[in-house]
Amino acid sequence: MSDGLLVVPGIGWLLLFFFVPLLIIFVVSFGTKDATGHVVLGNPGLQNYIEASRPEFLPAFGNSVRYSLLTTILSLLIGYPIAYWISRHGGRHKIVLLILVMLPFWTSYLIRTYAWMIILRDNGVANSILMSLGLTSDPIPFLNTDFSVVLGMTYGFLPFAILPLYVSIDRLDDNLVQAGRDLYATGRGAFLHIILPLTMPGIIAAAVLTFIPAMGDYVTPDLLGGAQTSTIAKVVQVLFTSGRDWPYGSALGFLLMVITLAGTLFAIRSLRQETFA
Amino acid sequence: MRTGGNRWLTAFAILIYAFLFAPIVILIVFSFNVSRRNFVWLGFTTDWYPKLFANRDLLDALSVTLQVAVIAVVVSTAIGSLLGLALARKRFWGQGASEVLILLPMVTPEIVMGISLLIFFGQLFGQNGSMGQIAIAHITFCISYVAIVVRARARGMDPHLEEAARDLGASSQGAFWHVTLPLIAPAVAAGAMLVFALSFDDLVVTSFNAGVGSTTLPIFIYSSIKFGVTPQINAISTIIVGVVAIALFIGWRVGTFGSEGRSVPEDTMVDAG
Amino acid sequence: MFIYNWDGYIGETTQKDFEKKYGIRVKYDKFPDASTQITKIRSDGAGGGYDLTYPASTDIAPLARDKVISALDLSLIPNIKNLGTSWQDPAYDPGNKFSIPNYWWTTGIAWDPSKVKEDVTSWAALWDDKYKGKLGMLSDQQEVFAAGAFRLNLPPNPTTDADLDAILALLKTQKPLLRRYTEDDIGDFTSGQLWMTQAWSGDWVQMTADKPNAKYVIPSEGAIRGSDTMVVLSGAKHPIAAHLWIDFNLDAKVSAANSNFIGYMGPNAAAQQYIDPAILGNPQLNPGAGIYNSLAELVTLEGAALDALTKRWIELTT
Repeated sequence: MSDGLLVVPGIGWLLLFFFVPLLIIFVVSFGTKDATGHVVLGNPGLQNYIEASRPEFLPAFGNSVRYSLLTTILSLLIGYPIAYWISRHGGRHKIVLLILVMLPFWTSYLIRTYAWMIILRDNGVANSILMSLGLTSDPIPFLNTDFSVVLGMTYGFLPFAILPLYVSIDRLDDNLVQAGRDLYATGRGAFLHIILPLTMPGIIAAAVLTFIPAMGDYVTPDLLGGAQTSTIAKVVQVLFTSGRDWPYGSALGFLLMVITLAGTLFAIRSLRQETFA
Repeated sequence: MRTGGNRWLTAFAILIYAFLFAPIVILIVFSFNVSRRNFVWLGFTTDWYPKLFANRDLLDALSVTLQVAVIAVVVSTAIGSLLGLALARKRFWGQGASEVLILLPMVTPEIVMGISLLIFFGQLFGQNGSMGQIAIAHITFCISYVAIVVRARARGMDPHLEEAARDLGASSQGAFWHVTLPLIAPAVAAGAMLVFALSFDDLVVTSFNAGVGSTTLPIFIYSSIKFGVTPQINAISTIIVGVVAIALFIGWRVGTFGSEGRSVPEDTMVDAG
Repeated sequence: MFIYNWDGYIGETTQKDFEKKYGIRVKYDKFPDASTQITKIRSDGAGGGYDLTYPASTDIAPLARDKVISALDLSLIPNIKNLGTSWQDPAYDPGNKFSIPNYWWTTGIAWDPSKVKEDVTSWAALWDDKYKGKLGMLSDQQEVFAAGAFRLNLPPNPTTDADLDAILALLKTQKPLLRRYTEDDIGDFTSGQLWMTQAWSGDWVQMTADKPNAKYVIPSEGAIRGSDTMVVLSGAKHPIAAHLWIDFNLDAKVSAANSNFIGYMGPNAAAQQYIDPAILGNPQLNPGAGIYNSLAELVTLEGAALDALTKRWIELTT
């Protein structure tokens, strides 16, 4: 089967239902809106992009990048051991264990987030436990902070990390791992020099599947965050909704996309190079 | 492996499972909350369960959500797997561009994608939102996820295996079905599970593509924020979790998932890219 | 018949009673905020497939101008006589040509007296650093800027750059004290995350369901009052059913049931006798005509005015 043909349905679909609509929005991003809020394309120009590059947005961009990076790193740090455990120690129950990982995510995302609010809020489960154990006398404000945002995002994206990691780790041949342990005196050595590089495609996939959507997530920081946790994704949303400014919102959205994409491609290239170092 | 390391790893795993299920436990507990607004615990009741079955709007929303999810999973998994496979193999014309193209849907902020489809379907086809439109939107953003997961797995696959099968007399089709597919099957399944969750939970893109009578569960729930999300939603989620858990348990006991250990020692070649 | 509305905006049995009375099935779709509503009904310029929706009064003029809503056939709405006289010919829609008033409310401050020891009477209370981290403001840009405007004695619908910048500066001093700009004032307050917050009057009634001692006040510097309406969309496939729905909701008992459930007052004079006396008798929820008329209304912003506000709102919140 020619590889070229395999690609056709996927690329074809994306071109039609993704690329074309995106192109429309791209065109819109160069337009302006008239007094009644309708998009006007008569005067195309870069004004929206210039507006979107103002330094006032830096804090929001900074927040987005910070949260997404932390989320990705945490997801990898948590996801890798668990994927490894399921693959190497799951035995007959591997698939069940894997599905068990996904199970919480077949409930409603919003309810799960509300559940976190119930756990993290001032009179919530976490504080109740801490206070009844006498560890603190005043409730700790977990909710509406950077902490709750990163926690919520990591939680939400964990399966996106675990699944590709598992798929990659599971591929490892036992013999290779054994050989590695024979070659290197410590388990750590075997891990760093054999296992890690071999599972790099999975790690890259997991990082990509976590970082990119995290940059665009505005609902989680909105629900779990506070006055100080605004993200650039939220700004885009505000521009489209209460600001009714589709051209401006589109421009900022594209800027966000370019930055996310550039960062991701750069990271992938460097990770790939390191594998063969 | 040193047994000490084993124990720590297992303890860690248990901790993580607890982390994953903590909100689910809360969710289930609060499905029995007397308070209609479900912000604070006010008492125990099982009333919400029967009420939920009388809630036509909620059940309709659930039905739409499930139908869309099934369609989205089937189509996007099929298309995405083929795509991922192709990208993992030999070079072909346009491969670099394709690699970037599949990243694009994920990089696009949901609101931009949602509005782009709103304009696309609205202005070009005069559509006002419908279940079909939602399904198309979901498939569009799901394909990339499957492609990336399958590609990661197929990357390490020995490309000569399929060739070898063909040399041994299998048809091109046969080689694909009996050699390649089983080897990437775990990735396909993983991708399917992932996009099911994605589709089931999608809010933003869906809200721009939903129309009259095609409200999905996430939209239904999000619209309820202002007055408190009724415990009926918790009840429905509990039921879903319960059903899947029971199915899982049965599958496990019956041994459908039991006979693992890898059947084909395929990874005799070290991955070099 | 397809209705597009907020969640929990009608009495518990209103929909069922209507269906029983007229034998018309109602599909009730909900939206989480006004922006989603407007985007949807404007998506095809004729209502996005819905027959009836509940826009804010300030939206009527632009919607009528852009032909998204159609003129009402008042002969199908005999219960219009139930409306209070001041509502029968409102400034935003003379002669009720396009809309029928639904609820009205004020935007003030809700607070928890068990946590906030002083009596709250002024907007300044939300700038009190004693309650840092426990204060909230609504995430509505116009409402927040109006509150700031009241404190500075500026017009609540500021248009000049000077006014907007002054208000922005004041709001920036408040931001570090806030826990969040909330979209869920009821939830945040009831769950104890916020001890004092800017809130809508009807929301306060909902808060008391779970926090009975919660208080609400219309601050002395001034406050916003708002109202919303029922309209028939121009693309409606079931316009007659839509009119019947409007008429049904104008019935005295139904209107009162709606008000009692949600806590917002209606414009229905005939309904007053059935409204819960706790709501009716509360001067904060049902201020006398004197106070009511002194309150200001928000204007629908478009074009440059909207951009000026949005730009500052984004600067404030990021």
